[in-house]
Formats: sequence, C-alpha cells, structure tokens
Amino acid sequence: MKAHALRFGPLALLAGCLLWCFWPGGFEVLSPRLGRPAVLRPGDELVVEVTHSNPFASPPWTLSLRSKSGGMFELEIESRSSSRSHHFLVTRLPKSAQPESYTLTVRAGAHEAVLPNAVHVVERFSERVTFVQVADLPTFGDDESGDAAMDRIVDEINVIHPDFVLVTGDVAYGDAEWDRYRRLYRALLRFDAPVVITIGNHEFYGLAGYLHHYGNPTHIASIGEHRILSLNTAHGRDQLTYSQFEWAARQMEEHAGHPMIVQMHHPMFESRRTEGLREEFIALCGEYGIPLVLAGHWHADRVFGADGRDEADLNASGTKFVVTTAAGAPLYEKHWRSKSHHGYRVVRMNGNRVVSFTYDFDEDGARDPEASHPLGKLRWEERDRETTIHNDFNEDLPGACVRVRDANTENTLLHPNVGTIQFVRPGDDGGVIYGIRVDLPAGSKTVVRLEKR
Amino acid sequence: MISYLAIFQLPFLYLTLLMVGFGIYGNQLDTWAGAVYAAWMIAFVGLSGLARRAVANGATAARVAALAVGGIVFAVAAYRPMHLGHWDERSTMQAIWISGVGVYAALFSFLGAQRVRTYAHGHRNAQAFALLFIAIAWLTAIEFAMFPLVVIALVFALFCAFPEPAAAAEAAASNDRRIPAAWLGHAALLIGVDVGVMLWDFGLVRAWAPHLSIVFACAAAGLRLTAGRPRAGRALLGLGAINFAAAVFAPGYPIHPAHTAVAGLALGAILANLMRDRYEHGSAERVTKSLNIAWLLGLAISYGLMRNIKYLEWRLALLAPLVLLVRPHATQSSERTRKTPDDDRATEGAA
Repeated sequence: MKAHALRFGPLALLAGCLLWCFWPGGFEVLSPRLGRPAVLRPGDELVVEVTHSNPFASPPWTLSLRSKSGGMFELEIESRSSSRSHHFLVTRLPKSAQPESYTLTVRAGAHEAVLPNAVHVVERFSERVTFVQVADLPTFGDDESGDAAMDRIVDEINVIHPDFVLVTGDVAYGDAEWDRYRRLYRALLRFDAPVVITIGNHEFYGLAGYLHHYGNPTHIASIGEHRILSLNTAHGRDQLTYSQFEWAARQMEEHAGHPMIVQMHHPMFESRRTEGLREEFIALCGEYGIPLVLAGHWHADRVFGADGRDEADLNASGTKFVVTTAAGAPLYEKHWRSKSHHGYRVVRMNGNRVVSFTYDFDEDGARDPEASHPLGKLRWEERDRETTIHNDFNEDLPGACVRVRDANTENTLLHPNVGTIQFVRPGDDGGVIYGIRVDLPAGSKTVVRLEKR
Repeated sequence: MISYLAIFQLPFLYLTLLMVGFGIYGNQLDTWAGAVYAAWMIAFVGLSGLARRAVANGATAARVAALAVGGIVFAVAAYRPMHLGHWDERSTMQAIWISGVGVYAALFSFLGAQRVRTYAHGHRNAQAFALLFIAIAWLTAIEFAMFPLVVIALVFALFCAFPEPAAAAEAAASNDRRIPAAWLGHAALLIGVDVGVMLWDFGLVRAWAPHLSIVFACAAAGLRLTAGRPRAGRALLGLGAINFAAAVFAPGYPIHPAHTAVAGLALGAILANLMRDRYEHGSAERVTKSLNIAWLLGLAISYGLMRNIKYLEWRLALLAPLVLLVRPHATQSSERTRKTPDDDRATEGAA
C-alpha cells in the first residue's frame, strides 16, 4: 500500500492541481475591449471572442450592454462556435440602441468580465471619416501631472469629435508598471470615440501589464468600411517579424477592397526595428493600395514616400509613411527637420483617399508637408450652463463637440443656443453634461449656452 | 522511455519555456525577479553537482516521490497565474516558482541519466517515444502557451510512478567513426538558435506551437532513422547544416515547416550520436549536461541576435565552427564493453 502511495501519489497530486487550474472556470474576453472595440450600427451583429480556462467546458454565457447614459440591454446569443477553449458568441445589437459607447458585460456561471467602452454604436457609417492619431503619451509619474496632461489631450480630441482615435504606442513611460497602465486605462475611457491601440517599445519594460489591460498588440479593427491594422514593431530588433508580416499579408488579402490604415510604433524608414522585412512590407502596401502607415517613436513629424525619401507633395500617390510627434513625451531634436511641437495628427479620408493629414503649422496658407496639429490650440472656459471655446487652429473644425455642464439636477432637458445635442449624460461630480455639436470656424470664439425653452 | 523523457524535458521543455518568457517580455535584470532568473541561469551549470549530492545515498522510491511532489507544486504554482493571464516579469514570487521548477527539472534530468546508465537502456525506440511525447506537449501550447510547464510536472509524476526495469545484456563498443562531441554540441546549439526564432513571439502567436511540435516529432524520426545507420546520421547532419545556411538566401525560410522539419531530423541525428557516446564513455550526466548547455546557449544566442543585430548574416559565422571541428575518428575499446541492441546490425535485422 505504501509502495503504491509513493508511486502514484504524485500523479494523484498532479491531477488535483490540474483541477485547481482548470476548474474555477474563469475566462478572458479577447475582443471587443478597450483598444480593440466593436463599432457597430443598431441591429448589427456583434461577435464576442472569449477564451475559457477549461477547454472542455461549454458554460452558459450571458451578454449585456450598458451605456454611459444609463441605458441597458440584455443581448440574446444567436449562435456560438467553439474551438476547445476559444468561444465565439454571436449576438445582435438592438435596433433601439442609441449612438454612444457601451460597457459590455460577459457572464459565465459565477464569473463576470466588465469591459467599458468595448462597444460603440453609431447611427450610420460614412465613407468620409475623420480620425486622430496620438503617440508617445505623457509620462504617468509619481505626481499627477501626467494624468492631467493626458486628460487635457483627451479633452481636446473629444472637442474635435473624430470617428475614432489611434494610439500608436509608447503609452506607459517610466517603468511601465501596472499602476501606469491602470491610470492610462482610466484616461482612455474618457475618449468619446472608439480607441484602437498598439504597442510601443516602452511597454516592453512591463509587457504583462499591457497584455492584461489591452490584449494582444497585433490585431485588426473594423470601423464601417475602414480597417485598422495594428502591428507590433516593438520588441528587439527587426521586429516586423516573419509571423507578423505573413499575418499582415493575410489580413490585407482578406480585407482587400476596404480602405485600410496601418499603425505601428516604429517608423518604416531610418529605423533598425523595421529593416528586416522593410522592402517586402512596402511592396505589400503598394500591392494593396494602403494609403497611410502611421507611426510615432521619434517624437517629431516626418512623412516619407514609398521610396524612403521625405515626401513634400501632399497629393502624391502611393503609400505615405507618416511619423507623428509626441503627444506629451519629451521632444527629440535628433529627428526634427524644423522645430517640432507636442501634438496629434488629424486625418480626414474619403473612402481610400486621404483628404488631409497635416496642418498649416507655419501659417503660410497651405498645409505643411508633415506637420501635425499642435496641442493647446483649443481652449475653453466652463461655467454652469455655458462654455466659451476658442478655436485657435487656422482651420475650421466642423462638427466639433463642446461639453457644457449643468449643475442643476431638476431633470429638465435644456437646449443649446447654437448647434445640436449630441449626448446628455450624468456628470462624474453630479449634475449633467451635454455634448453639443457645433461648427467652430478657424480662429473663432464661440459661446455655447444651455437654455430652457 | 520515462528515463529518457526525464533527460529530454530539461532542455526541450523547461529551458525552451524559460526562453519564451525572456523572448517575449525581456528580462528586467534590474528587478528582484530578474536577479532570481540571472542567479538561476548562472547556477544552472553547477546543478548536476547539486543533484548528485541530493541523491548521494541512492534514489529511493520515497526520495523520488518527495522530489516529484516538490516539482509538481512548483510547476503548478508557476503555471496557474499564466493559465489565463500573463507572466508578470516583475513578480519575484513568480521568478522563484519558475526557477524552482528549473531546479527540479535538473534533478530529474540527473535521475533519468543515472537510471539510464544503471539500467543500460539502449533502445532508440525509448528515446524516440520520449521525443514524441515532447512533441505532443508542445502541441498543447496551441491552447495555453505555457501548458508545457504542466507537462514537465507530469514527467516528474511519471518518473515516480513507473520505475523502469534493468536491461538484460551487456554491450560491445561500436567500431563506427565517431563524430566529436564538440561538433555535436555545436550542432545542437545551432538547432537551438533556429528554435529560438520561433520562440521569439511564441507567447503572443500560439500558431508557433505546431512548428515546435514538428521539431521534436521529426527529431524522433531522425533519431530512429539513424539507429545503426551511421551514414544516414551523417547525411542528416549535413542536410541540417545546409538547412541552417539556406535561410541566409531565403529570409522567410526559417519559419517554413520544411525548415523546421529538417532541423528536427538533424536534431534527432545529433541526439542519436550523443546518446551513443554515453555508452562508450559511461558518463550519462556529462553528455546530457553538454546537451543542456549547448541548447540553452543556442536559445540565448538566438535571443541576443534577435535583440541586437541583423540576424541572417550571422548564420554563416555560426556555421564556421562546424567546419573547424570536423575530425571524425574511429574508437575501439577492449577494456569496457557495453552492448546496445541498436548498434548491433544483426540484432536490428533480426528485430
């Protein structure tokens, strides 16, 4: 008996330990989530991808959505497919869903995952899109100055009201500890628009935190007809790896005919991180008509053509390889061609055609060949039921979204003196916040006031 | 088979998994966790001495069971946070668990080598099946990338549950030309460099798992093919060298399944020759130690290359020692005779 116990006891122990690993039944939602959102219209199909701890389990899943304004929907799972531990749950948005961002809640037994800003509902998709790219964010240091700087960036971009926001890496400077990712997560939740994120080299000082909060850094997002391909150029050298290159080629083939934007942290040219398969990747972009490959890392603006030379002609055909300055990280003189600035890039596209992606930084009446939009050109003062906003850009901002706070809790709907109501939602500190859509002409000062009618 | 599994799990499961962690996350050596990993890597070389002292009074059933229990506890404790989560590179506790698994893996590797020497196992089938087991272990990583860590714990438990019997016959030394151990070690290092390419983003791209599985499945085939066929072994080794160099001229080739398969076959031929050396030199620990170090160095070099310099051109430089070390010579030992059924062609033919 003792001999048997000695021989087979460890096997029994291992079996018990395996149960301890698999049995609890936890799961992880791979998509959609913050950084890899689902952007849909009412009535559209939503696919939720989860991985379960027990590859042999088929738990009863439940899905629900909750909006920032308080609306809640239970979603009926129309179908599901499973491949061992991977499950794809197919459901449909209700036709009554209002255009705003939603928190997705996934339940399986006693386990629950809550994913804020995982689903965004839009009224309709348009071929004309405006999006903002940011990279190299402020450092979330020991004081709160980084948080305040990041909040400022979010608030400005929210005024511009893009269709989506691309975050192109280097999001957690310093030691990339989990606390910094948590603070970044809180900041990104403040975006009104869907956020698509990819990874930069600084995240590799603490990769586990990035993976925990944002998942696999290589992914593709669909927003209407547009596709955003996010690649990981960030760990080690020649990190446009073989596997990523093949995956990117498959995605481009599968989504051929859709306008596709690629974002990767490191620039395609003059960077050792991308030289291994550079020529092949450039050829691939040319083959599939990729209009833009967006990058950061240099904390400066540059634009290259497919030949690797600086591109001065905004209307030149072919893929443009665009490097955008830092949104908050220190600026590097090394890559400046002229003095750089903190900023973000506002891109307007009509289908696959890039309408604009630069700013007239030198104010000579024509868009610069590479300058991004400088930070701080939108200013506002808030009072109860009134916001005064200054558009110091030298270009119009059509369809901007100005926030006006109403401290009163009478529950009476107010009306703006200009523009239209985009949303009404509870404020964090009580009261109500109105989002007012209004056109802001270049160099204008606009007063948006809430009134009773 | 279990004894060989205990030998092979150290380089082909544990050390490979360790490099997955380094390859993905980078090692933050300026943290306590990084210091634990670094200390383990340095101590690794001397672990066989530790192992010898740990079982100095014999590997009794109780002692093996106690080691198995310890190894299982460390392996599962290391694995559970990674089951649906990620390897937190800053976690000191995680570093201790992972390094602890390495200590037990080294102990069982030593025990396996001892058992093989003591019981004079010679069947290449046992070695081949052990490699097939490892191939299947890597296949499980398609679902959960670090699951092979649990398979290592399974090896500990199986080693305890199935003590293997002694062999019946003594062996005579082979008169075949022997490939120098240094050459074989460097060749194993090169295979490790190639496998490292797949490990680089394995934790994020689990599609690499079948490739790793192919390496060890083909290693099983290569080892079995070269049983009693020294020319076949040398041909496979030559093919492996060409396979390694070919990537310089075809950048996508390192990740092609054909490349992986040929590398696996060459690995099998290397292992066949290394395991045969065990009989003629009578030092299983020394041979397996050289395999472990060569493999670990190969993975580490691959990691270093991927991080720092353009990789492909260095393949030719890495091949150079193979040319310099080629000095095959025949050996004949009349003082010690050990007979392995696989080296005896008549026995093979009769079988």
